[in-house]
Amino acid sequence: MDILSGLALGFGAALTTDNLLLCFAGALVGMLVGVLPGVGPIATMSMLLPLTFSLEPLGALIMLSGIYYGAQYGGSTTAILVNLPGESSSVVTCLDGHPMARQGRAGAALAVAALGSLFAGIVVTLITGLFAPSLAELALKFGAADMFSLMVLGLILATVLAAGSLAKAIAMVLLGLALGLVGTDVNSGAIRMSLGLPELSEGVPFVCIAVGLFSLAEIAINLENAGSRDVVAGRTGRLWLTRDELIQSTPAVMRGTALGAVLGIIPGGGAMLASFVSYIVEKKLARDPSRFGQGAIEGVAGPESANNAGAQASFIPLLTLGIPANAVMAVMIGAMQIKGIAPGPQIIGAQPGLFWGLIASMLIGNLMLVVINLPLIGVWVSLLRVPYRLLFPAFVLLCAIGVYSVDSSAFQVGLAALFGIIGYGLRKLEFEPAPLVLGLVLGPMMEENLRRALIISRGELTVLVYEPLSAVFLSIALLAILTIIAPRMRATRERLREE
Amino acid sequence: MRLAALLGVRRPVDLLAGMVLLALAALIWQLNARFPVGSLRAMGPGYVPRMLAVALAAIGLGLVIYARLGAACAMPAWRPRAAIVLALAMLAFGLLIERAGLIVATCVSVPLAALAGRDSRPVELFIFTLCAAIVAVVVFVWGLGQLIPIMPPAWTS
Repeated sequence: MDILSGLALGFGAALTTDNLLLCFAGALVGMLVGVLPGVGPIATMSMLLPLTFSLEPLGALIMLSGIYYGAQYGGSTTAILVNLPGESSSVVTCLDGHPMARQGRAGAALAVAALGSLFAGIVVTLITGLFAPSLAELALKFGAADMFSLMVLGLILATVLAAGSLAKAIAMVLLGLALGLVGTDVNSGAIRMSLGLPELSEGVPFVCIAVGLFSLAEIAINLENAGSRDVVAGRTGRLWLTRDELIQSTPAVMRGTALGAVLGIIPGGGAMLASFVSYIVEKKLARDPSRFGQGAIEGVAGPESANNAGAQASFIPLLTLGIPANAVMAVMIGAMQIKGIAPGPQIIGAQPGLFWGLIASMLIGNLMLVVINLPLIGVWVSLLRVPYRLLFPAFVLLCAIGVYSVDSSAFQVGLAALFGIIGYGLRKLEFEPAPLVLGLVLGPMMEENLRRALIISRGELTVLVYEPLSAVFLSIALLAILTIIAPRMRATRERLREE
Repeated sequence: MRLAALLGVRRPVDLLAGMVLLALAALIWQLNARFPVGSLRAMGPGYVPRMLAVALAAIGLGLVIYARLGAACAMPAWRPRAAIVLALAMLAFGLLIERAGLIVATCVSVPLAALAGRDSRPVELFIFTLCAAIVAVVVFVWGLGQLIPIMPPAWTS
């Protein structure tokens, strides 16, 4: 199916009243929660995930993606006005966005962030529509060994590029894999690690883990380091760009979009890496780099476009390979699986309505966001004034109702609470929860593919190296690990010698 | 953590993290000990869990060693009060929702959660809790039509 007939099909599916409403509701609610400081897209999505469970699959995915890019947009608004990034990919936006706000140019910063994101979102969504189908077709030819190695590569890249210690990130992946094993094993019927609890015989519910590790633990950490907030809400200034600002920011938006599109596809890359790289690039290219950090508009335009482009591009590996590029996409996969959709290369061919409907809804949603964000900026600002002491009990209530409503199970609410404490402990031990959910969603698929590959090869593990594609994936993975480990080992060795 | 310093541990966080991983590895091994490992050609249900346990133990051991060799770094302060109080609020909601309904569960868990913060104001919190209970009923039960008991089931039956 070519992109035009695909889009026609997609708009047909996405432009129903229900789906438009879901798209709007998702974007609005996502922004509503994402604008609040200290609540990033993952926390927002986990909190609101249960709301989508009663919907039909396309509607649920449309709403969830709406929540995702709504939260992403909301995060930038907070970064500019409050200097408190809601999430890691907005860290960069603070650097120049907040100085702009202090100079009374918040309006320009918000406008360039919104328009840059809109441009990036539309371009990358169209790219997805153009290339995802052929990519998926290619991936359909992958054997079980290739798929297994590709997932290993995805996990390794995601951990290598993640912040913090590599060993700890890998440990989290392994722990996620182990959590994914809980419950009935499809091949043997054995019930593994359920601790004798019948509630766990079908596995640990994904919602409990997501809500606990991301929402509850995040709130607990926020409460622990409650700092001061500096809301610039006096004057946002004109919500438009001057001619000079437009000329300055346009190339930055283009470069940011390109960077985001490329870096977003790589597992572990996603929005954060793209925005960091874009900021560095803009600063290098600027005639006067000293303006950066003092309110340079390119420093907002580039990274904001890059982060939205990256966010959209991370849907590509999800929709073509069924591999989550980051924790947000893992939450997406979790939602798909709950809806009975098996993520993988077969989705586009088997359910074209779903794929193209999602693509069309992303185009619509990106447009909606600009409409929601800019004119209503006063509303978002007043929302920022709601004290955190009232917000977080409301979040906890939202989590509790959400988790309960999934299965009407009080047990799951308690389980989510337990994962909240576990999540806090993990953060304190400097374990990132993101790789854990990647392992959790990929675990069952990896085990399945490995088993199939080994059955075909009659138990020869060497099949993973003899299959050419699989060998390529594994060597890239090995290379990625070595490039990260080598400098660190050298540093440690030298430090030890000095002592 | 002075003890850790005395023992030549430079990174107490990693020591603790490594020990946690070792414990988890042992737990995973123990929980799967009764399942057959099988062979590579026909993996049993015990195969992958054991592999994971061994890998986790290896990383745990690595962290424990690294805790002595790596660049020194202090243990961050643990203030788990907030996390525990939040979890208790969730737990209270879970325990009450089926016995006492959404309104009671909200009116208990919201103030309880608020205790996790440091600056709570009783009057404000009281009004806020009532509003939250109303909003919860209106949005989730009436608006989204979710099957959550509003009142104690004993009253309605």
